Amino acid sequence: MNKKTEAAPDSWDMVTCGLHWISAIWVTGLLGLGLVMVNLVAASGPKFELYQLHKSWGFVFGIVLIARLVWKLFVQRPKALGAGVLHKAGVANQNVMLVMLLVLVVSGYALASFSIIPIPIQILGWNVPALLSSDMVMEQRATAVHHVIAFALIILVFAHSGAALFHHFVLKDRTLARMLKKSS
Amino acid sequence: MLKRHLPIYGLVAVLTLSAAAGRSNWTIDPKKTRISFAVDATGWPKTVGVFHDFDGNISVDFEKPKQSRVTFKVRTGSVDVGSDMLASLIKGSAFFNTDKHPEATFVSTGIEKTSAKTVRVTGNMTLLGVTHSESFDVLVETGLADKGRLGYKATGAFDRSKYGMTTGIPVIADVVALEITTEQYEQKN
Ligand code: HEM
Repeated sequence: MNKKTEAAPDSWDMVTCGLHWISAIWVTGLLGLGLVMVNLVAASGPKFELYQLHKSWGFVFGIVLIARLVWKLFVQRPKALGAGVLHKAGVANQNVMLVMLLVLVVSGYALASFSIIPIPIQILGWNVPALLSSDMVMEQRATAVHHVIAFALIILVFAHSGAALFHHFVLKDRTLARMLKKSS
Repeated sequence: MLKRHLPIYGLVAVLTLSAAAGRSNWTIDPKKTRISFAVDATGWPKTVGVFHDFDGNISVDFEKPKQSRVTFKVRTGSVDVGSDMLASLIKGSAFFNTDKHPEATFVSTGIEKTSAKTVRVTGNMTLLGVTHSESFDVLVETGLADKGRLGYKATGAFDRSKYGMTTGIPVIADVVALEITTEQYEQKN
């Protein structure tokens, strides 16, 4: 474990790499599932099942996200491979995405919990308690937040992956490589 | 999946008992009977469901149509909405509460002719143990009678809140549309 006072390492640690790629797959899945279930599936039964799936996986993702945020407190960023405004924007984008993910988990839980229809989030047969009491107006607000942040996140994810590919194929530096493997 | 279970046992006996003068023995064909409902919701497609397990009895008095009788008994646990997950929510205490109230029934109390091909059937509907009078418009497909068959299509709507089923109102509509299509054939014995 690196302390902030120590010299910046060359690479990301294995735990950060692992959490990063698990999140990448998980978030892509939740974004895709969310868009498909809301906009493309018209039959009530299948739509319901996809919503339940999204709620369960979204909630469990919240646990992964908390682990990731806690871990982030204890590790140091590797040496910067860039400088200037674009570099600062890139780092800021990463932090904003983490905040957005937290907002998505919280607003997702909130909209499900505020619902006047008692449909629990289920994890392996366990019903996640709905701690917020039914409120139609608050449910609509939480849904609006979830919707806007989800679409904003999609844009930032494209910017983030585009930047990573730009580093790899155009700048030909180790930005992408060091998130994939330890430095040699 | 729910197993299709369409009992007609006892129906013949019931029909025979009620076979007064002019009353003919017609039994409903469960394979050609479909009991369906539709409920709308805000930001959600209509949920359409069918029941697979029911008994029905239509006793037609051709001389005194008013004395015809219609009864239906539906096992609400047999509801099919295209998803077992959604069906178990509907069967649960928030909606059908099938553990406590396994059946919904309809027993006609009056039938009036509304046109050459239509009748209006009024009767007592019991849901969640609560009984109210409801009316259904029925289209009678007499063309089938040549082949010893009669077809019916009954449509109607009721407010589920009257029966104490209030979950989700107004996000999920209060009004439930019902549609029953069935065919009867003459008993030959
Ligand atoms: C506790 C966690 C979560 C719950 C309970 C949850 C629940 C929901 C629900 C109920 C909807 C449907 C909203 C509507 O009817 O418009 C939805 C939509 C959506 N969710 Fe989540 N969600 C959670 C986490 C997430 C996460 C972490 C992401 C992304 C990483 C995500 C992405 C989406 C997307 C893209 C949509 C579709 C938005 C739209 O088209 O309006 N959700 N979510």
